[in-house]
Amino acid sequence: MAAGPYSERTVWAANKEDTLLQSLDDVTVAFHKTSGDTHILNFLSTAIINVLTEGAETFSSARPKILSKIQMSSEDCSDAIIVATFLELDDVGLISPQAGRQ
Amino acid sequence: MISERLKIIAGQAPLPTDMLTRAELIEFADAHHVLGQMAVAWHGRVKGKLVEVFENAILRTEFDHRMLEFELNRLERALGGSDITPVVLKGGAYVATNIKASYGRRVSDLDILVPVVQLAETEKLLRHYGWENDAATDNAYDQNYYRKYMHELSPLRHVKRKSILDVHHALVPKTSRVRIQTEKMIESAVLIEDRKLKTFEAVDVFIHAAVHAFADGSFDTPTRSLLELNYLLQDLDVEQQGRLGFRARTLGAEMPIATALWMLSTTMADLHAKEILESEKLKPANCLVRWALIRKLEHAEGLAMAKFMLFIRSHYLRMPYTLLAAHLLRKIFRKGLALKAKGFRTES
Amino acid sequence: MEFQSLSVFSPKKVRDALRQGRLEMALGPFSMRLQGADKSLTSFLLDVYRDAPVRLCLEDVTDVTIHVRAPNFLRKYIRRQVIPDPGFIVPAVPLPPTLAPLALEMGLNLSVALKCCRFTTFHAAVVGSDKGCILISANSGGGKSTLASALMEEGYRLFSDEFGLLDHGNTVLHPYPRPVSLKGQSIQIVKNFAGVEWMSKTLSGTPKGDIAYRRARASDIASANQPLPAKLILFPSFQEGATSTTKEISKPEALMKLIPSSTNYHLLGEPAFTSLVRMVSGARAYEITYGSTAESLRITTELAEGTDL
Repeated sequence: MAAGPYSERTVWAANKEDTLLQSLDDVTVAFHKTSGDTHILNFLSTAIINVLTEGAETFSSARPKILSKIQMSSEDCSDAIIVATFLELDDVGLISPQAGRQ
Repeated sequence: MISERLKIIAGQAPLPTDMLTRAELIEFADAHHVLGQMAVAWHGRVKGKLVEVFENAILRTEFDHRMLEFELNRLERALGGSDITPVVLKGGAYVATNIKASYGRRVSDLDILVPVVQLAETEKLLRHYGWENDAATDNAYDQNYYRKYMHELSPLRHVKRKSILDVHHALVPKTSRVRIQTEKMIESAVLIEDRKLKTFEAVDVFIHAAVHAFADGSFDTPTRSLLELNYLLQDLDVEQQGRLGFRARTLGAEMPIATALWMLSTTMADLHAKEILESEKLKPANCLVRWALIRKLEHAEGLAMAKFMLFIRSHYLRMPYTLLAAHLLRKIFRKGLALKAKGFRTES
Repeated sequence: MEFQSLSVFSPKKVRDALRQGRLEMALGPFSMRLQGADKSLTSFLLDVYRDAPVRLCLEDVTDVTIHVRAPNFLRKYIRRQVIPDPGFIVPAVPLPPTLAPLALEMGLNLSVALKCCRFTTFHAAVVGSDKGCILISANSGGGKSTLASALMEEGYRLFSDEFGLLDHGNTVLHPYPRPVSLKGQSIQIVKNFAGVEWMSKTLSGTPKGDIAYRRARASDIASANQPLPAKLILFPSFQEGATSTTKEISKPEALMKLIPSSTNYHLLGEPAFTSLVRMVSGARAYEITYGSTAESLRITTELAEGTDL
């Protein structure tokens, strides 16, 4: 479910100041400070957060970087799944569209 | 006396030296949800176990503020693509602008105000992004009642976060006997720094708090309301205090403002409040109502009568007689059923 | 005035202080102001809290207040009932005055669970050696209390049978040694290995059947101000007659299992997260199932040997 408007042109960024990332036994745990929610990130979410922490991206500019991090092709990991994961991360506040770039 | 307690809670009078009295005061402040504010007023001025008790209270309010921050963030996200810039009201506004009235304040629901022309679009966007009718008022009677007569949508609850959002389009119901010029207040609203949200300008913030306490509702949280008004008045500079009377009259809010100032000068010996009241010759609610308000604050004899009076008054203010009887009957009936179903509850 | 063991005071003085709401008790990090007029309450305190540090005149405010009283004017005199009043609204089932001790214990548990935010609070039993502690994570029920009592007989110190209290500053668990509450069959089991002199009178006819309390030892109470880090975290599951199993779980799994067992993790936010991460990083965590108290004790002592305890 979406938390707000978005499009192909939306530039997404990870909310660095609001997130604490912790590695525990090869798993990434994300703590979102404002909402107080704790999330175990699967491999795809971890890759998205890492890519968007390195720099703000649109869906299309992020895609190759994400696929490279998880070492999968776009047949194995479809656009639909990546977009759905973006929207989940948006909903819990771990990533957001950059101001004025929706 | 509760008014003595108010001054102590606001840090304006010394703490009781007898420990049983002091313990009872702390328990009173906690029960009335003002312990966090008391903790802020007394920060750095206490020793012993009270330091930890106050620390505990502050932690709770910090949580409240974080939750509200997230709600404001999610609201901005949902309305991001539109040109709707809601005015944040009450606790949400105090926290967003970080004013004295927010320090240590318990907050929960988020209240926003949009001009009535933007109401439909606001509602559509909110429902699209996860807000839905709260179950308690999600029935035909309440829905109809809210749409026809009220100054706000029925409360919305976010499907995932379970938080409540109240969307207002005016400050008092359409049928209210106290006609407040909400549009003028929206016109003077100012953008909050770094946000796509607005707040009333400082004088109007005080006016709204007074309207809420004395022209809409039964004064159900007297201690909390008076403390809030106390801090909001303190935040007005000389120029703003000077404008208060004229602005109140312009907006149709003379009675609630005058009542607020009268209550502050009577219960907290607030000299500024007294001065404004007298120099502007503002007229508060009649003496019977004021008697009831004080009784409710003081929890003194006459309480049942005072409570009943204010309950009736809150409905009288809101609606014409024709609606009043039917609505009251229904409310009393529903409350009776609810009490039966609930079984037992401790008194607060 | 200094705190002294309750046993030092005459029953009359204790009863009067309780009546007036002037009995202040300190256990671990919490102080409690207690009030109540029922005889059953006074006898209970004199028996089960005999070694607890108290003062009979108030010298400071307290973290927690409990007034065991009638729910309303009528019930003070007719078909008498009591409820615990902690100063805020709680869902309290009224009890007959003979069960005032239960009202007190429930009121104290509710207060700590709902009110106290200085520590991340977990529903757990905690016992400790002189090096560290074992956190037994489970909701209210007989299982963890019986195991905690058994571990006490093995020389472990009682921290609490109800709450794990995690300090944010230095990731230690704080003792809060109130009496261990036991239900139904556990009462006889613990009576057998602890001895009848350690047990309170059994309260019958409670909403949860028979309840009795194993009081904390003077030594548990005396070391209530010595917190320790967790070395072993257990998630127990009791099934009558089941075969015992032990399964080590990963740190992120332990983290995600402990979070919902906390009453204030979400409320506290970042400090709760960082201290919980440190706690699970410094301990080993296991899911265990067993069919008897003896088995639970055997498994636990075996696992403890594999750690630093």
